[in-house]
Amino acid sequence: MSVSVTIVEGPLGPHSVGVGGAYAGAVGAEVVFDGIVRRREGEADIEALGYEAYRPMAENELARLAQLMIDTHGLIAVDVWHSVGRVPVDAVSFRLVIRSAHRNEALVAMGEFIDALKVDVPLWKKVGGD
Amino acid sequence: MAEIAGRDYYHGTRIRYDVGMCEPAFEIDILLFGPAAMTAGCSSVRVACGVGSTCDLVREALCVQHGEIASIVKAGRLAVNGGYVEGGTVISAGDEVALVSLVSGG
Repeated sequence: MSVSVTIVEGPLGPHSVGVGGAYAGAVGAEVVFDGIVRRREGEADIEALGYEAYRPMAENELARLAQLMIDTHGLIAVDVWHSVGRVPVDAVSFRLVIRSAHRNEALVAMGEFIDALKVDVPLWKKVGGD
Repeated sequence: MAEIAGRDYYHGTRIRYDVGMCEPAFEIDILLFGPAAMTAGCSSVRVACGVGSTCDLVREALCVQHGEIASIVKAGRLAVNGGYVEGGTVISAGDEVALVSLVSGG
């Protein structure tokens, strides 16, 4: 069972699909969620969002949630990335990758993790990102 | 335990102190982020605390001493040394205290 948390300056790059290494043969499902900056924010069109983190705590909270999901749902691995700084429209600012033996526990954990992130993880966004 | 009522130097008139809490005092910098930092115009504010102040008392002090962010404080939580704490947790000089206002990651 593994957890990884990465805070990245600026937008995230593409996700590289692939299962292997320590979990070769064990993973039956890989669920990937990409959070993308959309143009419409409230009533306005925007060019970018800016993300700010209370970084040590954000990393700890993300890791805590990931471990909670593993313990609760029997997942194999949870990897999470989140941007800080400026992320333009159409770019990815948040990625959650969950691997499990079967699809259902990964899909359930995906929703639970994101719901908890939006309550507990000290990350803030603002329009513009300057 | 004996109390002093109406002593408002640190936290405002609504607070009653245990006698032992009122003597020495310290100041603590509270880290601000997101909307709190934007509203206050800075990344931290200093709050005077009585020794033995709990998280709840420091929140009250923050509202009294920095009224411009009082509404944000009331809707947010304090984190101490990188983690959320219960309201009764005692805050000491040297703790890292942050105001975690409503978050908006993801």
